[in-house]
Amino acid sequence: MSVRTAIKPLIALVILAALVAVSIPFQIRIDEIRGRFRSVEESLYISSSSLKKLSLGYDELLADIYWIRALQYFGSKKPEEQNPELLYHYFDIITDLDPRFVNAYRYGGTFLAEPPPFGLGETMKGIELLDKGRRNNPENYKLPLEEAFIYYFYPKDYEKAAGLFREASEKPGLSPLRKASMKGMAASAHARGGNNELSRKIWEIIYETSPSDGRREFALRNINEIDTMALEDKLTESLKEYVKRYGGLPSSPEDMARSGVVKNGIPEAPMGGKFILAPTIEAVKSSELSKRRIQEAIAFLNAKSARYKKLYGDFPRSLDELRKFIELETTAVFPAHPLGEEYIYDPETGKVESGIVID
Amino acid sequence: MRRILSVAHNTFIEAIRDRVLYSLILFAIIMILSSLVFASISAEQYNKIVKDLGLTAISIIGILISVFLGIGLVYKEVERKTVYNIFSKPIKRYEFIFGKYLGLCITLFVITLGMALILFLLVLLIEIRYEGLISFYYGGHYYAEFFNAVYFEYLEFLVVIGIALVFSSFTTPVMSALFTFFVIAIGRFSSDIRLFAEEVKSPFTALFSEAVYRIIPNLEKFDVRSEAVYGGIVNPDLILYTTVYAVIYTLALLILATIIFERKEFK
Repeated sequence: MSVRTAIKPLIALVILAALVAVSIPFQIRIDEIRGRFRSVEESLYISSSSLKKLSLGYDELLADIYWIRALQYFGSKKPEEQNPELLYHYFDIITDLDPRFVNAYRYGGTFLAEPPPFGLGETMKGIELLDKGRRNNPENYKLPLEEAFIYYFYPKDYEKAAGLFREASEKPGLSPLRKASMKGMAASAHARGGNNELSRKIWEIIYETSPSDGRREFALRNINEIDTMALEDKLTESLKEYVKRYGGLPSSPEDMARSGVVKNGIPEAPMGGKFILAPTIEAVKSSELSKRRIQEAIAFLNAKSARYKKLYGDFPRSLDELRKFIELETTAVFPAHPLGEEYIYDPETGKVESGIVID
Repeated sequence: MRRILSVAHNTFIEAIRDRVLYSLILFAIIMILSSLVFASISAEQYNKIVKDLGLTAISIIGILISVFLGIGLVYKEVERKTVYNIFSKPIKRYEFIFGKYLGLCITLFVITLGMALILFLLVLLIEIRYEGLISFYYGGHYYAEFFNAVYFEYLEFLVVIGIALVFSSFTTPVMSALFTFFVIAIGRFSSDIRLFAEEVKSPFTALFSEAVYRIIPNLEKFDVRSEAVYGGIVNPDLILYTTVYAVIYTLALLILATIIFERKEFK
């Protein structure tokens, strides 16, 4: 073998090593662009990691197969026969295999969290899944929105819900209208949780920044409502003072002004109408706000009565039966009469009416 | 160069005669039937299922063709003794290797393009039909990302053909296939090796794992299928760097195959 022949493979080997070396900066740059190496997630150490390996890199397809299996599982069994652990496991695997599959978090989270008969009533498991979705998809607004609804309706943690509505409203790419809607939801949730001050601030922001006249009007209505509620509370405090001082209720709020318990007269209600006495609950209420609340409560009760008929073939026999239906078979609560009065119920027509009519 | 092109042309014609284009018909049948079935039971995730399934099918069919045609590239010529015929002509061994490789790349290009167009038509049909739903769920159609995903898959085929060619130049087709699939499997989990390098305490093991990570083909880098569904990071920089990486790695493989082939003695 000549020296020349012996050197040839050596040169080739040097070129080979040089090419591998040259490829390294490109690999490093690709890793940087792609956000380090992709398959590294916390899921690597749990059971689905073995599935990831089995998939040989075709993770998304395996996620789709699991998705269809999970759907078949929902479809083939009654809710009471479904195993929440197994369903959570399915969705956990799906979302480990395809962390960007937003609909898997949404459907899975909602189905797990919703109480029977629509879901499995595993609220915390549903929340866990949605939390995972939010971590993996920090720019998606649908996941915090969905989770906010769950917190709002089931554990009734309004502050948490408000925080999530706000988080959703701050995600990129939302239209101003949608942003304002979500801010509105956050404000409502704060109000529902008793944080009227924060709620008012959010409505103010919406009022000042919303491009839509309708949305601004809606925000203004809510601001007036919150201000009216604040006045109601203030006047109710004065009412307590009056009762303490005189040993009985006044005949009207104006009596409180005349007696000096309320300084500078009874203020005007920002929502319009006037302030009235609700003797049963010993409170001062706005006539307009009460009227609206009574209308809402009655519409809700009538809808539930109709739902009862759809399920059981007839209207509830009494208001008490309707109350039990709402409390035991739905996720809602039976609304107390806003003025503390009674509802009047007709079992023949299934209609509920207020025991008191406000002029 | 003319001689390389001549070998490439013959390899392409041979592959066509081997009826590899039938894979397109197989692909079309798989895609149409499965998308009809799966998409209908996917709870409105039509485009995701069709894109995932289609891009996976392109990848699997492409890799299978790359491996099974790649392992036979050299071995078949040696086995049939046609290699004597070839080398009796003024053709160098590296020209033979590069020509064979190029021929198979052209074959794969035709097949991948065919499959991509069939899939794209199907995706278009579904996306037109469920326009509103897809915009709502996924925020866009990501057609550019779709073709990027196919292009990245093609880059992966180029590397896989190179790997198969290296093994094919010194061992039997069965062993070549086994080795190639083994390397593909390792390449698909390259980030696990990197993770190991990060987690391990011993500096020597860490350095060794890092070196292995850099040397093995990082096939994970060719997977942007998820971006075809959700959109995302496929920017011109990534396309450029990944292309250069594939070209350099393939060149290294071809040189390795040539070194081995140069040392082979034909009796």
